[in-house]
Amino acid sequence: MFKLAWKNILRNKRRSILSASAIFLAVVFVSAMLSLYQGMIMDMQENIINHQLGNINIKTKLYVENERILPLQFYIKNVDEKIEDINSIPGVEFATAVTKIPAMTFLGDESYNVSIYGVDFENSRFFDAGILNAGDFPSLENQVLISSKLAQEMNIGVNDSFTFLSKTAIGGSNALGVTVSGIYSSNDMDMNNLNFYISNDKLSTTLRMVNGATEILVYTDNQLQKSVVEDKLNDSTLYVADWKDDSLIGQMIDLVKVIYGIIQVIFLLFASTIILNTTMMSIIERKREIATLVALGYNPHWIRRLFLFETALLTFIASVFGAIVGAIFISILNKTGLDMIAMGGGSVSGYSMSSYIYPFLPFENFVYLILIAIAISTLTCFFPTKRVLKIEPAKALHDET
Amino acid sequence: MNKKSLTLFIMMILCIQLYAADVNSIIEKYDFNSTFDSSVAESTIIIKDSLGTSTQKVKAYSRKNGDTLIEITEGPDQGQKVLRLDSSIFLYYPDANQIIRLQGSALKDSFMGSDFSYEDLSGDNSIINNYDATLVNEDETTYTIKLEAKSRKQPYQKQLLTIDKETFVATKATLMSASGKELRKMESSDIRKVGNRYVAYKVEMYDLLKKQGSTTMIIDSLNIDESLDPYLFTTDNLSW
Repeated sequence: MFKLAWKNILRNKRRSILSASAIFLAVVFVSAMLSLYQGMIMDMQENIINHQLGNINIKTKLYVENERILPLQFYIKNVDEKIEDINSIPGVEFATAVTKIPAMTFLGDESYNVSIYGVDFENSRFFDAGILNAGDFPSLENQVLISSKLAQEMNIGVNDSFTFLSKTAIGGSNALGVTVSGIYSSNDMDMNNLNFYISNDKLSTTLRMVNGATEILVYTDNQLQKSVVEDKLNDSTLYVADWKDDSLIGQMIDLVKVIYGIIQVIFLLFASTIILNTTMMSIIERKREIATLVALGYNPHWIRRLFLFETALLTFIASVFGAIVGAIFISILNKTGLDMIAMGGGSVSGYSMSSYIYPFLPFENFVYLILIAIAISTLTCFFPTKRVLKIEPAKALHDET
Repeated sequence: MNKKSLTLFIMMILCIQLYAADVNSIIEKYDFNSTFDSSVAESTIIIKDSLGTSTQKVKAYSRKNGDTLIEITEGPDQGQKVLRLDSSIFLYYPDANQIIRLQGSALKDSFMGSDFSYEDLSGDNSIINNYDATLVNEDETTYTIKLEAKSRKQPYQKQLLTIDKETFVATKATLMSASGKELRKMESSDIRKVGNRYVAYKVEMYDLLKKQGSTTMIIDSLNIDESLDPYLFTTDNLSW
């Protein structure tokens, strides 16, 4: 059957090339699209886990209930002891205290609305290698690391000082004078807003929440269940959440996966309509040949399977070539990266997206894509090839003569 | 207009004038109690909210034009100072690099997380200069007076005061927006005579925009009409 199918494919090269091109282009396009999606999702996931929530995020229940108004008063108390407890759980890489607050900075007569992050500089995943544009990480309590956007906005540099004012956890306000130790620029676009980072110890003291933090970020081996952390802490006032529960993006990832799957099938269905068309043409053109085979005693079902096999073989060849070209294209994009700001992604703030996305697609996804392409094109031709079963040899041979 | 109508009209005008004179005299007496050439007050501020109760002690210096200096002398925010000059508030924080100036709507912000705003505790308290008054009710012991602000500058566009007939101190006040929405409610008690004035030594304020809580201010000591060094009311003094 293989030899016969191959011969038939080569018999009308132009038609076969047309059919194969449709599948080839669809596979190249779908693999590129999937790789971009995969790159974006992985990037957002990494940014959310590393820079926002950790694998597991802990806040007080009251803080979560009132999060809209950033209720500092509902901070986590005795945070050092809790971190020590969490660090003793197998599967925990480390836990770290973080405080996030909106504040105002003052420099002379000018004031700016900013976001402040209190972090443990020696124990965090906020700062990727090469993040520093100038200066160094804070080593003194009153030193801060500021985003290049904030440096530009306030027109300040390393060793310059300013004051920030914020509400405190006891309802009042407090201000602190700080000095810039370093300026950073992150690939995570959300980190490049008007932000600055200060030691959580200093920030929590300034905000009248000694040994406190608004949240604890727990970094794990990805296998650890949040229930293990809940059991260890055994504190009903705390809300322990998996990063996916606590992030809109996390909750959307599964939905987006389904949507992309549907889009993938739609593209392949479109491509298969060309195969469907050529198969129908082929059946009409080869009506006499089919009639002869039937007259010679060939089972019409076998002939139908031959047509389906031809489609599958053609799709296989086209999709393998499509996958190879797609893989080359993706590997180039993976090296160069896609500049999301140049593509208009700079306006997508708040989605934890990086300024550069590196598309990639695991090998197994190419295999799935080839299999799906074969399945869809074969299924598409399932009904048109039914015509083969209806051909009456005597009538068909008579019509042709 | 016949003779009878003319008499009635004149009587009406006289009544209105008498009524106005009466309201103005109440307000003048009220203002006399609440405005001083200068004052130095040491107070305890007790803030009750969802977090529990916190107590801070403050010392406030003020002079007739509304300039006010408040120092937090005890409590978690000890060392902080607030200076009100005209329509600006200057904040001094011991750990800050600079004095912070607040203007405009920031004056309505809460003072130390209390139910008092910066504006409640500073500025020109005179009613007669800033509000039009109407007597809306009178019983055996109190007058109820409705106030409407003469300008948009006033933090509370409407007020309803219950003024004690004997002391001319407001025992209750409802502070409202222009639309009549109730913003804050104040209750005064422990009225004492200081010189020839009556002063409420205990004031409870309720921020009605908050779900719960209240702030009580108890005056521990009060000296009025003392001469104050003008340097007190300068930004240079704040950082000292």
